[in-house]
Amino acid sequence: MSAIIIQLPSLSPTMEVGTIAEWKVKEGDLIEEGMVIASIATDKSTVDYESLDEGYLRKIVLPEGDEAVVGKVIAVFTEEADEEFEAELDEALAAETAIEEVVEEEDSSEESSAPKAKPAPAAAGPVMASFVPAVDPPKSVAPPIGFVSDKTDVKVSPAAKKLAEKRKINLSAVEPKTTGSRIVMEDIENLPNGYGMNEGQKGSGLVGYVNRAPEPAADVNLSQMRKAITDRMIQASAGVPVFYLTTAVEMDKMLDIRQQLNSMEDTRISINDFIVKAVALSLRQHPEMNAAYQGEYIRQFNDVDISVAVSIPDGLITPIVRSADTKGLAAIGKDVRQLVGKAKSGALSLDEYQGGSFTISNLGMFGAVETFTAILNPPQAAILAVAGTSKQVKLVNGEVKEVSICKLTITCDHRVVDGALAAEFMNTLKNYLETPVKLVL
Amino acid sequence: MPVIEYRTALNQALEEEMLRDGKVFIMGEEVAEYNGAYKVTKGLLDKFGPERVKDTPITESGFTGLGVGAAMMGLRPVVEYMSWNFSLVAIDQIISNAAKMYYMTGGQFNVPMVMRGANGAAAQVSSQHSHNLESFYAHIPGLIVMAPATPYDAKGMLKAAIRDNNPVIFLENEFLYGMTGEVPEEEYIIPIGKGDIKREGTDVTLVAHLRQVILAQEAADILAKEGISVEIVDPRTIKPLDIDLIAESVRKTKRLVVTEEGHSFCGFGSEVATQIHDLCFDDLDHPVVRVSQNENPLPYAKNLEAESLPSVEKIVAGVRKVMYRK
Amino acid sequence: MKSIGKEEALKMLRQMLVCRRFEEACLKGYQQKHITGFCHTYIGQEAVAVGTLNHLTEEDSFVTSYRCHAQGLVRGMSAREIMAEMYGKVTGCVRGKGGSMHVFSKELNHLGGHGIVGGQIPVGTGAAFAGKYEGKKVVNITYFGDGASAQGTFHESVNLAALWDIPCIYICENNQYGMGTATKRAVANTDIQDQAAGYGIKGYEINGLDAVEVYTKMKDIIAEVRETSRPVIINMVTYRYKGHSVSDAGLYRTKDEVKSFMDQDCINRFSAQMQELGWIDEDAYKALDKEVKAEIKDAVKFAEDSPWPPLDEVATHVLA
Repeated sequence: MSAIIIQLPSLSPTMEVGTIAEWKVKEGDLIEEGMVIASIATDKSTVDYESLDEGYLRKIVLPEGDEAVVGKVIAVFTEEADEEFEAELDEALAAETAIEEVVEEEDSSEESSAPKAKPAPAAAGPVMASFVPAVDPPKSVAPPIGFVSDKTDVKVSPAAKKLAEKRKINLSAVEPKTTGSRIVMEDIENLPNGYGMNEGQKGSGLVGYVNRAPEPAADVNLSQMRKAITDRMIQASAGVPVFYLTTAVEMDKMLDIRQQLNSMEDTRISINDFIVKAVALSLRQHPEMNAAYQGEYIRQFNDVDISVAVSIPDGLITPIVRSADTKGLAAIGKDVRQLVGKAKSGALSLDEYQGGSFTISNLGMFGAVETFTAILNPPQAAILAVAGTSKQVKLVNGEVKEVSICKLTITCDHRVVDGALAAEFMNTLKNYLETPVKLVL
Repeated sequence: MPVIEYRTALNQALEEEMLRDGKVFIMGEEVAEYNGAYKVTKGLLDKFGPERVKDTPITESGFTGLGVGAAMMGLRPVVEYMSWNFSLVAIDQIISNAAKMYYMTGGQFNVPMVMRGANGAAAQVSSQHSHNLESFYAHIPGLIVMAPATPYDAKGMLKAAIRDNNPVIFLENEFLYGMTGEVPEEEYIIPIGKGDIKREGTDVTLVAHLRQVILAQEAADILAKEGISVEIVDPRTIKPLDIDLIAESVRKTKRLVVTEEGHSFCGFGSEVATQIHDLCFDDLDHPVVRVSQNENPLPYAKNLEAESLPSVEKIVAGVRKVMYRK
Repeated sequence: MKSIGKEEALKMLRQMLVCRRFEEACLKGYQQKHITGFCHTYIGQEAVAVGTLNHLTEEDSFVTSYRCHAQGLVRGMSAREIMAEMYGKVTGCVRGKGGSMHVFSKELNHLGGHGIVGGQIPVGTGAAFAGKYEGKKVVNITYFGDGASAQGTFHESVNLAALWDIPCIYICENNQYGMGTATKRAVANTDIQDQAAGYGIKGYEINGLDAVEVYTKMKDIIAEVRETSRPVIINMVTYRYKGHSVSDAGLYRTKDEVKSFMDQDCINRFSAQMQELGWIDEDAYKALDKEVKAEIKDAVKFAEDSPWPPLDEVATHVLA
């Protein structure tokens, strides 16, 4: 004794929804198997629906003209003419509602508001495994790295490239004699190890491809400077895990003191000088930040040598204020002015810009820059980006007050420095800059 | 060690396996009273009688399917196609039934059946009698495809094929039947899926199977005089392929040539090249070179046939190419 | 009917009802999209399966086309395992890898469920050959449709069987249409049993709508094949009520034609014959049908509740 729930059938392979065009029987009728009980409009045509069940049609749930998705309850039969069926029908309808709710939740994540056919409850099959090649993919494919050469169309066979890496052969020095266009094994097999390398390169870990330059545009020659910058920046960003911290520093007290100092004769202190000094003292307090990543180890420096990024017509250079922590503001200012002057005239000596334990990049002179991040200056562990100073309002004890804010952002090499340490460093730095008297002492 | 013909090695394998296992029987056209079109089954009718060595009518689809049914019931049929060209009229039985049976029955019915015969070109038998079907059959999951090049391999591999529980496509070649080689008297089995270095070398890996191994040896002799050392790798089993053996060789030589008698498009060489590019890309000094039959049906005229088929000269040229020699 | 005996007749009636209710449940499952792919039903042809398979011994085997659910059920497979296969579940008879067209049971020598028209005919021949090879008195029934009788495999197989004395019983389930093509439009001589003469073997035509005729005639024929090892061809004339597959609208035949065959329905006829002998009454029949429906309902629930095949199943059973 049970009710037979009749659901909207799928009458074509693609049918998702259907409409009862006409009920051919009425409630109370005895339905025999094979009897046409309704005509149903599908996506293709209107077709007669022959019942697969037998019994008394007790209730028509989906009236004529109404559309429903496949699987929706459309009617209920019972085996006997007077059996109860309400409870089972309610259960079927409740199950349907539950499914619809789930489906609607899923649908709601989509933008479309068009009415969508709901899948029949069990129609969702298992996820098919996609084809995966049986052979393992190559274990490690090196990123395509080029090599400096005037012969920009020269190719290298993978095997020759691999051998060159192993034997530290500079491919830019190899002629593709065998083929005229591709360096192959025969061209390099008999060359000595380190062929084409200068002495320094032979020992460096950067085998074969020391000078990494971006592919040049056809008619623009690269300056050495631009090449160097490119090298450094790519080296700094390729694969190095970095993070950034930003702090807002109130500059008013420092600006006050600076004004007082500069009112003295023969004294010219810049905001940058304060920042160099503050950074140097902070590094002294946090020597772990005054460090470099060296591949196998981390090197912490005794000296606090601050590289200061200087923009010059050719590009960018970072002359160094040596032992900045031991120098006064005036001495720092003098150093910086000298170095910048030399940089702009191309007169810096190697030791004036190579080395350095920490870099400051200051775009404060460009007032529009509210905040920015700098790219590491490898192998240094961190670089500080100094943005412009701007007036902002602040609530102090219920009163609106105008303050000068400068945003500092540090970029850290996560292989050397962790977040907490950098945060402590930034705290110390902020403290120095907001208590500038400490910098004058 | 006795030196015997390739066909005799196959004959010994059949006889030994039939003696060992009563469920092994042979059927095919002319296998019994005629003693086999290529005499592979010579003498077996006398030894085992007409119930186990059965001449069939010329009805490949019928007797292949009969073999499938018999194998499903536990027998181990060895079906001979006089040539693999004739298997094409049985291809539904091989692909839809033999290959798919174990899978589509959820592991209930396996088909331990060996189908064997001559594959590829013979001497000037023209378009319809010269098909190389290794790529056809290797394309289908559920089939094992074997192709021995020497009498030693032929015997050890056929014994392995008969003992295997899967349908095995066993490809021989008309030119090879008369080739001689050493075959030990004691029993041995060559496992399915195990390739063989037919000649050691250092400069180029040359993959060859079936008759191509013979051509490859001649090519290697010529190249040796030019100072090029060729390593010949015979996979022996086409599927499952011993790609590790080929890859190991390529890592050593840095260069790969694949020669096959069949056509190049979607051919065996394409498969080897793809797998080697996956496994050994950084080891290659030159793109993989394929030597194969031209993309035309095999013509009759001697000069046209020679022009179409891979040859010693074409293999030599292929090797020179990967060596960047002119 | 009397020669069948009451007990056997009751079993056959129940088997036919199981087949029919099972196929109806398949249609329903297809309409609700639980079952997809192809689905060919046996409704109308039930007398053929029960009138033939009940004569087979455990060691005998059979093979059939893609219209293969009913033979499995009559041979003793559970409705559960076949329905679960229809649903593509791992509890299905072939672990969800075959579906509607590929019902198999190694245990019961059910050699399938084959999807290529005529492709199974040599396979059945080979199974019969294997029995003979091993010296057993076993037979194989190879079922195929009227459409397949025009395939080369039929000729090749019968030729081999006649030549080699293979005890194979070739039953053409002639339901009068190869998909939408009437037999007379596809087969030169629709008296398919007449082809036997060409091979020097016996051929029979049997009314496949009459379970009594099928059962009694096949009993003798199978016994003879078992004894003589000579193959036979049976033209088993029957009719399917539903389309070739579920996507067949049946426009190639008239409703009157379908009705004329439904009026000769094999289950009704068999039940009426039993009632005449007093072996069953209307109430008992209804009770039996109800019991069968419950069994099928249970199978459907089992299928619905069963898990999908685990994804690693995709790569198993490629090679043995």
